[in-house]
Amino acid sequence: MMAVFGMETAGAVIAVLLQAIVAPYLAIGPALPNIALAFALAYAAASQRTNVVIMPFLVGLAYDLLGSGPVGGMALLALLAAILIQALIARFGNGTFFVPVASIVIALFLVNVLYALVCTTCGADVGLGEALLYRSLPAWAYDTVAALVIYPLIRFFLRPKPQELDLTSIS
Amino acid sequence: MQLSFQDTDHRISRIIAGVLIAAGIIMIAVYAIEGSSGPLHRLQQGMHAVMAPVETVGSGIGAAADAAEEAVADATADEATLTALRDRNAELTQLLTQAEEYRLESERLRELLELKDIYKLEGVSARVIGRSTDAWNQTITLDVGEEDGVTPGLTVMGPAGVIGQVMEASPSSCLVRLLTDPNSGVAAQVQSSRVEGIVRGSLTGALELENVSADAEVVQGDVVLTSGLGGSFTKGLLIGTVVRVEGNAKDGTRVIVVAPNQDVSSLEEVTVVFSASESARIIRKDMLDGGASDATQADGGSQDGGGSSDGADAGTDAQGGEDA
Repeated sequence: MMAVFGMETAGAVIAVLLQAIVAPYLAIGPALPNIALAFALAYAAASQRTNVVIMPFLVGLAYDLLGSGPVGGMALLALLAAILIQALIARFGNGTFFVPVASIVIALFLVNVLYALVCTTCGADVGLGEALLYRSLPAWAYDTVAALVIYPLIRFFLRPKPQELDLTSIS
Repeated sequence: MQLSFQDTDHRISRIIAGVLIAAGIIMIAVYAIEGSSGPLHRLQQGMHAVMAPVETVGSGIGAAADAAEEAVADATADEATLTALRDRNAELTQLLTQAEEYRLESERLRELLELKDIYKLEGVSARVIGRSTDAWNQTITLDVGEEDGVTPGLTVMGPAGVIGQVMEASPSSCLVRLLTDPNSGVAAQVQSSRVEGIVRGSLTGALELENVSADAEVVQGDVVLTSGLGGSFTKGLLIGTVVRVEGNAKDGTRVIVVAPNQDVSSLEEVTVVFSASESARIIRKDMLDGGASDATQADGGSQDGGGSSDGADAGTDAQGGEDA
């Protein structure tokens, strides 16, 4: 269990550092990947636990503090998205890749749309329609690609070890 | 027993989630209500100052990408030829690359110095060490700060004109909001007709000249300068050129698109302007064309750089409407 938490923490720190150092240079037109968010949601989907709540919040908060947007906005949305993903997987999950991946895509879409709403509400001098068209949709596409790259990696690292499988079957 | 532990675990998770959701909502509300000196804004500024040295690591990534591109081009050449020349050229290539890097850097710095001479600017040269980490804000981080005399509100210029304004300053770095940021607004005037308006950034990345009176005539090719109104930007500095006028002024649908004179995404060195003298109104045609030639007088009077924090509040406020 400690190893899982260690991996969660290390992954989150690396994701935030990548967001600060690498992401600004990966811009494609108006889109910039949100590596921190992609990691948080991919982790929430890949983890077998259903209580991944603190890490997405902290990663989102780090994103808010690194940028110039409203503090707390991405933190709140990342947390809600993680809860949504875990609820969807708990309800529809069947052990395949489809449900987690679909959950991530849906959650990322909602996060990007709601973040546009938060930004425009908190004083950004742009219309909501413009924000959705020029920021949310490109960002959603980019974040989805990032999450779909990260998700299999996390799933690989979090795969149960043979000993753990045995213990689970005994209990 | 195991189920009981799981129930407790879930209950604790729900409580934590509830607390965090409440914390998130409170933070958003406080951030929206508080001013730029509020605790959350200060926390954000502190984080920017702490992360500035870390962001310098990323500035090498652009160069690495260029090198990778070059390597791909080399790989497509004839292998036999490359093998024969590789050893002989390795050292020379290394030296040449280094020399080319120095040459390009000196060229960029010379352009900046030239601009300083033209405008009789007093300021400090700075390197771009970081860029915006999110898609919603157009900012850059510079390697100069309060220790170099930089304060919020100062105008920042690239080799061919204004690119933005200092938004935050820490002891050794500062954050600059670019003109292309949707929240940016600068009081401007058209050089030929003296028509005044506000140049704003947009999410599309274009600059738009707004608040221009309906009877004013603005045509493609007009040069747009800072007007100095509001005191937040130094007067008479080049912003860009009108590239498109769409819609009709009479029915209020006119959109005037201004193209900045440089691509900010590739800027590596800039000047933070402390003040400009009388000749801040001189605009050279070559600055618009990218060459070197005559100077044309545009206007008279002098304007200080607006180096006070008051100027900052006026110029870089999220609403950007203060310049109006």
